[in-house]
Amino acid sequence: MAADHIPPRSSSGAAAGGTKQRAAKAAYWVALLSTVAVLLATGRAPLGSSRVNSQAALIHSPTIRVSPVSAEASGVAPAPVFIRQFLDTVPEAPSVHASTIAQLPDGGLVAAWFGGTREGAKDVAIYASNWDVQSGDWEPVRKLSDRSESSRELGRYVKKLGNPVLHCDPSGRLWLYYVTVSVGGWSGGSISVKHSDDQGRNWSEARRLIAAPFLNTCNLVRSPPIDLADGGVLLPAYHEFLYQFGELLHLDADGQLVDKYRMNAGLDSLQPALVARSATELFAYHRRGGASQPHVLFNRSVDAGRTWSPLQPLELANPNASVTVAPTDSGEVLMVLNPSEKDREQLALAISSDGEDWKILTLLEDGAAGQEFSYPSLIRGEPGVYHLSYTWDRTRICHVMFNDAWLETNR
Amino acid sequence: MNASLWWWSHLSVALLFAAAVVAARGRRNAGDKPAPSQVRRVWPIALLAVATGLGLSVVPVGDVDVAGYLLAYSGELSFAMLFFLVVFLAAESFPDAVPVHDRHWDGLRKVWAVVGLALYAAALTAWETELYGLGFGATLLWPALAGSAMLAVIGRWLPAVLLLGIVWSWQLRLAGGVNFWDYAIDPFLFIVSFVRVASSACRTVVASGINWGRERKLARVLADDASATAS
Repeated sequence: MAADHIPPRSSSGAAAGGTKQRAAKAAYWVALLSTVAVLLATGRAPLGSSRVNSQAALIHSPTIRVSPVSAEASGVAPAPVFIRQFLDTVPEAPSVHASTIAQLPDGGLVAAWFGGTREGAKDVAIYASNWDVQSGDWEPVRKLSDRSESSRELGRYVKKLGNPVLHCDPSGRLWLYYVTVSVGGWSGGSISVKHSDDQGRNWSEARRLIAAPFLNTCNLVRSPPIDLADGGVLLPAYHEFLYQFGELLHLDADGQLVDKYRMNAGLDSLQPALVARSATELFAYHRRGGASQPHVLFNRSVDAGRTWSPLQPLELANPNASVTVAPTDSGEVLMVLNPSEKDREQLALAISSDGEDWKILTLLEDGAAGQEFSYPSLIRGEPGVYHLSYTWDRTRICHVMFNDAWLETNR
Repeated sequence: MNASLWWWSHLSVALLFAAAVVAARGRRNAGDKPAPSQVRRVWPIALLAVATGLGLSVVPVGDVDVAGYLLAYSGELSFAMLFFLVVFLAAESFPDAVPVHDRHWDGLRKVWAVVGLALYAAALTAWETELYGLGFGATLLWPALAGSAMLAVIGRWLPAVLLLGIVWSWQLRLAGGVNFWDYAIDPFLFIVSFVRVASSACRTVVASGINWGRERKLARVLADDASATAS
């Protein structure tokens, strides 16, 4: 390192300069010692003892919140339920895509998606609708955010909006993560977040999750997060610039980024969807991208997402399209996917007991050539009940509700 | 957008603008001591340029202002970049009080070039280890403070103060990010540093090559002379 010593002085002010230098040096040491004192006072002990600090403990050992298992049936077997509904559309958004769905504390649902004249257009906005648990109907569609509003809230120019992801945390707070792009295509995306404490009627201002070193670009979301025992979440994200790979963002209960874990070192996988198997075990299912094999890619973590096994292709085909997974009450895993190597004309429901060997249960959609049924979003709602939303030929968002009894009839 | 982020982005524009204006005036040579008249001339220009830059940064452009528009393309500048700009402006304005010259940044440029190369390459999966992840939590907090203290002890005040400033801005989340690296380096600092370091290395290699050629030529001449004398 080059010397940054002060050059020699020849003027008569050398003595005064020396005094100033001594004062500056003293100020530095005071500032340094004050920093150390403040950090110690606020509980940020040096590494080692910091393991007992809650923040540090959270960083080093995330623990997944295990969902309670549903109560045993009361003796009367529920009837099979399979209901399909379409959500309303709005004239200004003839093209809709990438829906997401979450269950609210009152048993209702909220869904969100992006819509506009076409994907990536400047008029694309995030739309939402609530499903009333009493009436079983979807309410009129409302706009959650658009490019202009996001620009104002984030304090920066936003060129377009992308994938939204809804998640209701155990406290009842509803979170919306969504993609904003300021420069370039989707690979230039970054993740913004809002939250709502009134079931999605009113939202906080958007803020960005700064999760990448290079201009905070190349970070996108598609699938909902996994709850942690401490109120935080593990949000699956993916990188899409030059290479495509999955990442896991560890957020605390306030939605602040705590850490980031890479899900694989591969080059052609994206949009990981997670399912928790225990307090520390996670399964991940990735959309295949680029030149990788046309199959759903799978890997697992046994340390709550910090490290991951190598990716392996499943037998399930994948045409470079998003998949979604959800656990059943009996410990199986459900997946909704496009079971094709080339197109998105079919949408299938599959089930697995171990997460690796899959059986296609039924085709939910079997369209004509050129039609698209894609970007499914599956959640386990009330015990034994599942909700699925997906893109219906880019013109509508479809909601499907089914239960365990219906699953049994399709085995 | 919170207040600190607003100031961070607008100050970034103002400092970049001011640095460009002052640099355009013509930088004094390293080690030259400017006359008092020159000193008087620089600081008002720098101050005016900062004020003008700040004024320009709030001019509306669509849904945002100039700072918001530029921020979309540049991302938040790091604390290190702002520190560099502030010290540059201060050194140009008050060379007696802030006797920092271009050569004083050479060591830091090397650090930024190497760190940037490793950080950005890792972010694009050049290798599996995610170096950016080291910047979360408190992993780098105490090493950074210890490093700052060590640099101060050995008299490297510029990097010592910079490192302390990075820690402060990082802990206060002034630019919105929660990662140490967001405050220690940014792509522009890396690119500028890398270009300077690489060009300097190239010049050194070329110069040493030329010297080597000259030495060989001289050796040949001396050998010829010696053989001629002997014959």
